[in-house]
This record gives sequence, C-alpha cells and structure tokens, in this order.
Amino acid sequence: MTGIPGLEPLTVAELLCGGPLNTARLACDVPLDRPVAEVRLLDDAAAAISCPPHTALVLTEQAARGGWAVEVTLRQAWERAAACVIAHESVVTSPIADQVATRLGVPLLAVPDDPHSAALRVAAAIARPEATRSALIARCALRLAESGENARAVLGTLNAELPGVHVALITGSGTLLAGRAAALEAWQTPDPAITVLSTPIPGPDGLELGQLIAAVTGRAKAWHTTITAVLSIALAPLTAWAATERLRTDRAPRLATALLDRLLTEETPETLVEATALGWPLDGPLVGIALLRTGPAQDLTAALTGALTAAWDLPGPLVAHGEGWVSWCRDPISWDPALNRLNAITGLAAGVAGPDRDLRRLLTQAGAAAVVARSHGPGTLVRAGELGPARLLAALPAELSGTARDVLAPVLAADTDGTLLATLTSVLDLGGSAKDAAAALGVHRNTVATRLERLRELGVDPTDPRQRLPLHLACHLVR
Amino acid sequence: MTAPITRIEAEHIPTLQAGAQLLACGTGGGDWLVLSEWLRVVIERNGPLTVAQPEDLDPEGACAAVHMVGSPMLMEEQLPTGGELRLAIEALQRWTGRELTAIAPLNAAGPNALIPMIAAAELGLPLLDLDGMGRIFPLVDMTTYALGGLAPTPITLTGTAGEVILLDGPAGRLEGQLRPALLGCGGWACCASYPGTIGQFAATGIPGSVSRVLHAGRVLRREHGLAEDGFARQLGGRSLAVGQIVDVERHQTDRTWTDGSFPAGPSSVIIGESGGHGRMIRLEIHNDILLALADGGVIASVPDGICLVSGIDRQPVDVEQLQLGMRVEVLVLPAASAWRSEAGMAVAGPAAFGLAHHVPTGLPR
Amino acid sequence: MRLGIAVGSACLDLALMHGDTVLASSKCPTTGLLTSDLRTSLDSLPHLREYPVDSITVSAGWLTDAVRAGLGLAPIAALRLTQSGGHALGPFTGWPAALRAAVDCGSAVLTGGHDLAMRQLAPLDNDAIARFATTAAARGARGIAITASSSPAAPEHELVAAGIISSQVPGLPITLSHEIAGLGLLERENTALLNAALRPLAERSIDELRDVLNDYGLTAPLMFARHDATLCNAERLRRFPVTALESGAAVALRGAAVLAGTNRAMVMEIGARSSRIGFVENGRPLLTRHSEGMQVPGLRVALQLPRTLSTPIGGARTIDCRTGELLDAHNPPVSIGGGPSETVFDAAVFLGLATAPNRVQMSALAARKAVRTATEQLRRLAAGVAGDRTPIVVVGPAADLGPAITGLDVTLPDHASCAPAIGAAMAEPAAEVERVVVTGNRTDLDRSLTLATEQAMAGVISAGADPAGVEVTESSATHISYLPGSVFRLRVRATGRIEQSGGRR
Repeated sequence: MTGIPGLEPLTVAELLCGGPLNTARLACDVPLDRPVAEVRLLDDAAAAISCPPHTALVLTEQAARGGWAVEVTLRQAWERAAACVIAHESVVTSPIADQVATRLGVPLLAVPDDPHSAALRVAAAIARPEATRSALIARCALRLAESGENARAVLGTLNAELPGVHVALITGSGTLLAGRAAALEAWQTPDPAITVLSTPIPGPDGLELGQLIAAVTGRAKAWHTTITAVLSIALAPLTAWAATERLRTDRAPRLATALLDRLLTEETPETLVEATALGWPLDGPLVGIALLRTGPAQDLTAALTGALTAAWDLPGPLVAHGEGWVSWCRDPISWDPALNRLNAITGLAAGVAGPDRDLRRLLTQAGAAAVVARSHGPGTLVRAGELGPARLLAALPAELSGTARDVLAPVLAADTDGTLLATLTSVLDLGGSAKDAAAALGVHRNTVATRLERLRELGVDPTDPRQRLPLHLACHLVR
Repeated sequence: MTAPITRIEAEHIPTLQAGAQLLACGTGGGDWLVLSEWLRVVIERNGPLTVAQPEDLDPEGACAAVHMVGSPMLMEEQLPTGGELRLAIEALQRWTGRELTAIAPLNAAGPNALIPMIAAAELGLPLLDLDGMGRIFPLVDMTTYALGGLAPTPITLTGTAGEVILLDGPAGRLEGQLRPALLGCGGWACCASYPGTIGQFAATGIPGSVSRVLHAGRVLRREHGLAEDGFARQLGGRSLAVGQIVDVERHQTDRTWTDGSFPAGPSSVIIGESGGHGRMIRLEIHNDILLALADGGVIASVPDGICLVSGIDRQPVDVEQLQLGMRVEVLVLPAASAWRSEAGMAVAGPAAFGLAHHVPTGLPR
Repeated sequence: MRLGIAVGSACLDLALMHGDTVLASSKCPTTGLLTSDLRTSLDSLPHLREYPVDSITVSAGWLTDAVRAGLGLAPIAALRLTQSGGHALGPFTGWPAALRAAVDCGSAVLTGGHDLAMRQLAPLDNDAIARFATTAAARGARGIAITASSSPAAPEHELVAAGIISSQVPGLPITLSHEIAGLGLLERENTALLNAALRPLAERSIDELRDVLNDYGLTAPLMFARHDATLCNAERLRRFPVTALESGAAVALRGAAVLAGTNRAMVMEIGARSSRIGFVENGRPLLTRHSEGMQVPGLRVALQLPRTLSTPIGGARTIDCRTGELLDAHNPPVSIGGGPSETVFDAAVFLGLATAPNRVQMSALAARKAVRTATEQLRRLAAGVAGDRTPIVVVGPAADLGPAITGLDVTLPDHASCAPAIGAAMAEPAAEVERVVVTGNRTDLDRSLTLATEQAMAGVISAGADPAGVEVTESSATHISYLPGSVFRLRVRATGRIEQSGGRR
C-alpha cells in the first residue's frame, strides 16, 4: 500500500477534505499537511514500531480496546513520524486521547465506519494522488455552488471543506469581512511555519474588491496548489455577491437617512413601524454617536457610507445624517474600536452622548460633541457630558469670525495694541473678576479697572448679562 | 535502607499499617482496623514477636506462608473469631506431618503484611524478614517462591465459622479451586500455604520485605526525621509526576467475574501533570495500577509497583478513593530483581495482565 | 444574617455574618459552664437584637471535650449481632481505658447478622436479647447501641433487636449502627457506642442553649456544625450527636477559607495548648477516611474528620520570663493571656506582635527567644507538609503569632481569632447515605442508587436545607473487589443551603 513515486503524496488534509476520510471527525487541533505515503492496519498498538515514516496508522477495534491503546498508538505515531492515527469513533471517546494527540501534534481521526474499509479507501486514494485531488476540487466546486452568492456562506463552505486551513475575505486595507480571524492574523503577522495563499477578488466595476486569503500550516506544494484551485473557484460567487451588495448599499443608506429625518421631525406610526422593521432601537435609555469627517468639506457619497456601513459592527444602525453619520443603541458600549476602524477608511471624529430616553436630544448632543471632536482632528472622541465651555468655545466655526468682528468693531478700532481685547477676554474667561484678570495679565488691578472703564465707554460692558455671552464668543472667534 | 527489624511491638502497629497501605499500591481497600486490632490484642496477650533473618535460623526447619485470601473489606464486616490462623497452620502441619519453626509472609504489603505477624505472635514463632511478591499480586501463585520452584500447594483455608479446607494438587489448578472454596467460607479466609523449609524460602523470597514495611511507614509518618526531603527516594522508588486528576473512567458493568481470573472491572485514571511538561498521565487499573503512560508513552508498568499518594500530605491513596480534582503524586516502586528475569516477567509482567501486545518492550528504567 | 457560635475548650467565639461579610464577632474565654459563657458572649454583642438572624449554627465543642476527657458521658450497653463462635475483638476493643471505664455498662455478642451476600449468618436469639436489655438497664445503662454484621446492607436484625429491647425496657434510647455509618464493623460500632454515650448530654445541652438563645430573642432555627463543617438541625443532633465530633477543627478550616477569600489553602490554627495544620480544598475542609484527626488516641470512628497534623505548642505555653525558655507542656493549662503564668502569647504582646494589653515585664531578648522557639516549632509543622507552597492562612486564638513564623508565606486575615464561629455561621446542610447492594443487574443498581439519592436529599432537607436548593454533590457506585457476586457500595452526598435575608432590621 505505497504511494506512487515521483508524484507528490497526498496529505492528511487532502484525505479529510472530500477525500476517503471525509466522514471522519478530526479529534484534535494539529497541522494536517503531513504527507501520507503508506497505510498500515494495526492489530495491536505495539505493531506500529515497525512502520516507516509517513504511514497512516489504522487501529482495528481489537487493537483499540481501552483508551490507553489509542494513546500508546499516538505515542508510537509520534516516535515513528507517522502521518496520522485513524480509529473507530467508538474508541476515541475520551477527551484525553484528543489532548494527547494535540500535545504530540499527531492528527487523530475518528471514523464512523469499519476501520478496515477506511484503510482500504485511504490505500486507494494515496495510490492515485492526482485523481484524488481532482475529485476533491470537484467536490468543493459542488459545495460552493450549493452555498449560493453570499460571502458568509461561501467562506463557511471553504472553511468547512478545507480542513486545517483558515480562510478569510478581507478588504484591501486588511479589514475582515467574512471568514476566520486566524487567517487575517497570519496575513498581518508573518510566521515562517504558516503559508498564506491569497487571491484578489475583482469587483463588478473591475476594481479590486478585496482578497481571499488562506492560511495553511506547512509547505506541502501539492496541497497549496489544491487550495489555490479551490480559492479560484470561489471567486465567481464572491464577485457576484459584491455586485448585489453594492446595489443594496447604494440604495439602502438614502432610505435610512430619509427615515431618520422623518423620525426626528415628526414621529408618526408609519415611521415608527418602518424604523422598528429595520431593527432600530427607539425606546429606553439610548446611547448614541455622531461621526463627522475631519477632512475638507465634501458631499457624503453613497459609496463612502457603504464602506463605513460594511465596517460597522456595533449594534444599532449607521445612518448618514446631516454632515456625517449617526448611530445609536440601547446598551452602553465602547465606541473606540469602531471609531478607529472607520477612521482608517476616512478621517473621522466622533461625539457620543447618552444615556438619554429622547433620540432627538441624544443625537443633537452627540452632534454637538462631534463638532468639538472635529476641531481636535481625526480619531478624536468627545463625550457630550465632558464638554467644558473652553472646548465648546474652541470649536466655534471659523465662518462666524466676520460677525464677531462686527460685534467687537468699536473695540477693535480703538485697540491699537490688543490690550483691550486681551483684557476683555481675560475678564470674561475668569467670570468677571478684575482681580483675577489682573493677576492673569500680570498688570495691576487698577490698570484692569481703567481698561474696563474704557470698554464701557465704547459700549462694551462685560458685566451686562445680555452682552456677556455674545461678547465672550466674539472674543474667542477674533483671537 | 535502614537496619533490619528484629521485634515487632504494639507501638509499631500504626507505622506498619501505613507502610503496608502504601506498598499495597492503591488496592488496600480500607483501614484494616480489624487487622491492626487483632495484631495488637495478640501482642498484648503473647508479647512482641520476633522477626528473623533466614540465615540466623536452621535452614532445614519447616516454614510456610501465612496469609489471607479474599476481601479485606469483608473481614472488616465479618470479624475473625481469633482462631482461624492457628487452625490453618495446624491443618497444614497435620497434612505435611511437619511442625513449623518459622512463618513467612506471602506478600508483605496490604493486609497480608499484618496477617503473618498475627500468626507469628499467636504461635510464638519467628517471622522471616522476606516475602514472595514485594507488593500485591492478585493470585496466590504469583510469587517468587513459585518462580523458584516452591509449590503453593498444599494450602489450607479456614473460615470464620470454623471451616477448614485443604487443597492439594498441581499449582496450575489452584486458582480454579481456591475461588469456590473461598466463596464457601464467606468471602475471606485465612491460609497457610507453600509448605517448605526455611532454606527454600531464603533462596526464593525477596529479602528484607518485612523491614521495608516498617521503613515505608516511618517515612510516611515522618518518624525519626524521615521524609523531610527525598520522599520517593527514601521509599526506594522515584516520583513519576505530580498532578491533578482530570478524569476517572470506570467500567463497573456486569462484566465483573466474566473474564476469568481477575475479579474486578478495569478502569483508568487520568492525571494532568502540574508543572513539568504538563503531560497527560494515564494509569490503567485492574485491581491495582498496572500501567502508567505519559502522553501515550509507557513510563512504568507491572511488575513495578505504581502507587499514588495524596499531593497534599503524601498519605497513600486508594484507587477507590480517587475523585476528580484530587491532587496526587504518582510513585513507582521498582520490583524485586527476581521479577525482572524472563520467567518473572512471564508471571508478573504486562503480558500476565493481558497487556502483552500493547506495551512496547524496553521499558524506561 | 447568620449567627455562628463556636464553643471550644478554651474560648467561645461568636460571629454574625451577612453573606461572606463579618458584621460582628467576639471572643470570650470559657469557664466550662456553657450557659453562662454563652450569656457573657451574647452580652458582648450589644447590637445583636437589631439584626434579623435567620439561622444559628453552633459548633458543639463540649461534645468533643466530653469524649476527650471521658466526662459527662452516659453509661451505655453494647450489643453486637454476628455469627456464633469466639470473638477475639469484642465491643470496646481498643478503647482507651479511661474512656471505656466512663461508658462501658456491659456488652454482649449474640447471634445474628448477615454476610454481604445478604445471607443470614445466624438466627436472632430473641430471649437472649431481652435478657441482655433487662440486665443492662438494671446496671444503669442509659442507652444501648446495636451493631449487626453487614447491617448497612441488611439492617433487619438491628431493627428487630431494637423492637425487642424497646418493649423490654421502654424509653431506653437505642442507637442503630446502620443509621450511623457504612461498612467496617468495629468503626461503625465504636461510632454507634459514642453516639449512645453522647445522647443524654446532647439532649440536655441543646435544651439549655435553646433557652439562653430565646432569652436573647434569638428564635431562629438552631443548627449544629458537623465533623465535616456542614450542619444539621437540633433534632438530628439529638439523635446523632456523634456527628458533631471534631466540628471545631472543621469549622475553623472553613472559617479560615472564608476569611482569606480562597477556595484552597493550608490553614494553621494556632490555639492555646496546641496548633494544627489542616487543608481546604474547594472551600471545604479536606477530610480523611482514616481517623487520624480524632483527638482521642486509639479510638477509631467511622466519621470523615478533617485531616490535620498537630504539634503541642500554642499561645498559652508557659515560658520562663528570665531566659525565654519554653516550659514543660504538661504545666497546668492556662489561658492565652490572663492566667497566672507568663505565656508565649504574652511575650508576643510584649514585642508588639500581638494586640492585647501588655501584662509582663521581661527582657526583649527573652521575649524574642520565646517567640522564636515557638514559631520555629510551628514552621517545622508546616514545612513537613508536602505539596506546592500554598500560602498558609493562620487563624485561632493565638493567630497573631503567625506572621512571626519565618520562611513561610503567611496570611493573617481580619477576625482570624474567630474563624471557628465564622466557619460555623457559613456551614451548609449536607447529608450522606452509604448503602451496600448486592445485585446482578444494572437496573437494580440504578434503582438502588435512585433510592439512596432520594434518602440523601430527604436527609439534607430534614437537616434544615431550603428544598429548592438541594443538590447531589457526590454519587458513586463502587464495585467491591474480591467478593462473590456483584456487590456495590453506594455513596450519595447531597448538600443544600439555608435561606437568608439581609439587612439590618
């Protein structure tokens, strides 16, 4: 029962994957790229001593009496560099055997049928590796066709059909869209023991949508070729899925924006039903976030909203609203990871607010906080509750500075060296205290008093409650 | 090893009991309160008993192994009347026509460490400082005595109701006759067997076994400053692993008694090694611990004694007491060299316990 | 709120617990008069009446002391039913002479009993049983313990004999061994005998306790700690007082674990006259099947007692004030800090290691020497224990000495001196059932196991558990080797919890 010389032998992974052992349960977490050169039926565990390397050891039920026989065989397999140990599932019942297999790095396969027939099937398969590989690829193609045009389903099929391989769909910038995080991890942090095979996925418009990556342990070339072949079969359903998704994200965000606007202006039963159907949280204390772009002002494109929505993995919807996007949900959560991820797509700042029972107030407060955050640059997150007057003032839009100059025109005209404006600002900042302002400015208190007297002559009175706020705002805008 | 023991007094009893329990390798099956009380009562009545080195006695003097067969737990419930041992010895003497001049243990481990002491004290005979197993084996004929050519038969059995049964014939037929006779006696019986001379016992027995029981007990009980360190070494063995029991597999179905000679269902204990390599240690048990595997590799097997002590205070642990989560230390106590011969391995090696085909040869030493 | 009361031989501890939190605790030296000691202690917790106390658990150390000193025990008779023939090992075999003298009011070995295959060993001799009962009563026996061979598997003969005796001598309290313990006739008999001897004392003391507690408005159910730091209610203790033996050691261990907030620890209880090391696993005291924990040498009982190692050194060991030498352990016992002689604890107070009013004048050199000698013995006690270096929690009246032990990882929790009372307050109800069944088939075995489980659960509810929270924590059927047929030992253990409400009234 020996493999054909010259051809690369099948690996354990290939035996499992649609091969002669596709009904077997893999009882441990170990690399499966071990070549299988030979099969040996063992009537007792000690017979493994005479096996050459790369043998698949098949334990008969007679040999496997008692959980310890399986362990002894695993140990022998480890010492003989055997490919794997195959036994009937009724004897691989102890979790301990799995643990020993994992510790020794020997694949332990539990088969539901007679181990003798499993041995025969393995023998037949390793005698014709290329035929087995073709059968394997054909089987994967069939399964992929059955899974339909849906990224999650396609990736689920790939991961199920390619044992020991982690497959993921990622964006160009390395965001996981579907599949296993382990694959992305291997892609990001190279490990000499792990090979990452990747295939770019063309989008409907010809631009690269992302990549299909597969992380596989070991260096068995033929197995890599097989995996790459299977990945390329998966490209077609993925491209089709991308086209459908794009259409949907193109349409859906606008509908959502319109619905949110209606919801915030006039809450009718219809809007409530629509929002509820979309799964939007509406009652109870809510927490919310508003996101604003930090770059130069430009229109929100549906594509951008689509990209952000795709990367949004928190509970609650992400809806384009006003100049940016908002989201809200019921339970307080940590927004930072999501902000960081979205910020990588386009520069964003965020304001968060809540908990609040009123969605309108919640989003307004979050929006205000986002304006403040924007003034601090991308990636900033500001909580509405933490907004101090200074930060609010700092965030005043620069467009208002003309108005401010009008308000302060008399002062600016008379203030040749800027001392009047500085004094006015200082007094206002310090709550109207001339004494504190003198200390802050480093002048005598009488000097401040004199300057305030001059300001009052110019019609500007920081102690007048009606003037105080506009004056204070104007001072900050002008400076 | 320490100096040989020469006398056994009442104050030694708790120490002897502890040592016997450890050497029973997890099959002690109880406290044997009855046995230690029995020994104490006899010593208090007849005085301390003498332990002799065989070379100090006349090699031509008649000697026999005195022991019990059956369930020690049954003895705890159906107490001896006190005359059983004398009755068994007298019956053997009548049959062989020779009066004993010394008594030998069958196996100086478990309950059978104490029984010959009771007999020796009762009859005022010296007890030879040797035994035929160096541990516990399930069958009466699995001894170095038999290995050296001494026949276990004729053997006498006496029961608590006063029954006296004598079995004679070829050694190979003994076990088949012994079990039904034992049942007739109610599950446990006192025996005198292996009639021979002191010289024959000296030639075939494992020397120093009785002293070893006392020494093991002293180590366990930390007497004379023992066991401060080198616990396993002081017991003449080595520590295989320390860990926590993660699984106990029991096979307690109706299969008991059906597969012939070994009247108990097999079971396994899995220990997750703490520290070290974090190995998975599996102990295979058929009455006693036959095999220890670490990650599937054999690290100890019969005829060596594999025993468990509590990982907390190093007191012997019975296999029946084992529970999930318990912390234990696995010790191996190497078998007497007689068992290492080819003939010895055939009688008491893995093959004799149905493990022949599974255990690779060349056990690590 | 739960109130724990631990009555030891030297101190009476109280602790009021809410969940794991100690609300109040107190410690008073004992005078030997249970009721007045309890009143003194309760008076020291003035706010007690403000708390809604849901349950009161008492660790009845006076029962252990009674056995240890052979005082206060009732004279009793022993009846063993087994096969005919000689009996080298009769009732009271191996008992310490003083203890035996205090209780032995005659014994008899009569025919009866079964073997483990349920076959009768010999028929009962009804007349002989009746005669024995009459004689024993005439001699002044205030209880009788009946032990038949294999009664855990076949209790019939014990029950029949009990019927004969109660019609012959009405009102004589009878203890049946199969209700007390499982296989192992001598241990079971010893335990039954002790139980019989303790019953009058238990009855009397429970009544006294109840009266004192009622006076203080403490009308909550009265529970008693058992040998394994679980509890049973007063009614059960009246019938089975022997189960409270060594409860003091058990609750101290449990209390130490609660105080240290750990599930696994090595605990050193530094007492007045001796100290001991015990172990806590999964929050429960580590028990031993053997009776090494029993403080009465030579007497073996069928109770799982805490596995402890002890050394005869404690805070009340007297010292020579000038040299700092420890004096003979056999000096008259003194209390930790208050007796006529200077003690190790006094030296520790002098050095500022322990918090108590300083009452001695000695040189610092002598004080240091006394403390060092004592703690070195404690260190050796701990160092002799194998296993990994688990931190040691020190508790007990002289726990303050703990941190002075060098080379050990010692934790001294708050309220350490009241650990037994805390352990008592935290005790939960439990019950175990041990049965032997002889059966050829699995169905029978399962049925017997179900029955044993129901009995254990009923037991734990009758011990005072909230029926909703009862769970089976251990259930096993072990095949007994070397026996004819299939004989299994069933062991079922159920535990429950006591309902409690919270808050200050």
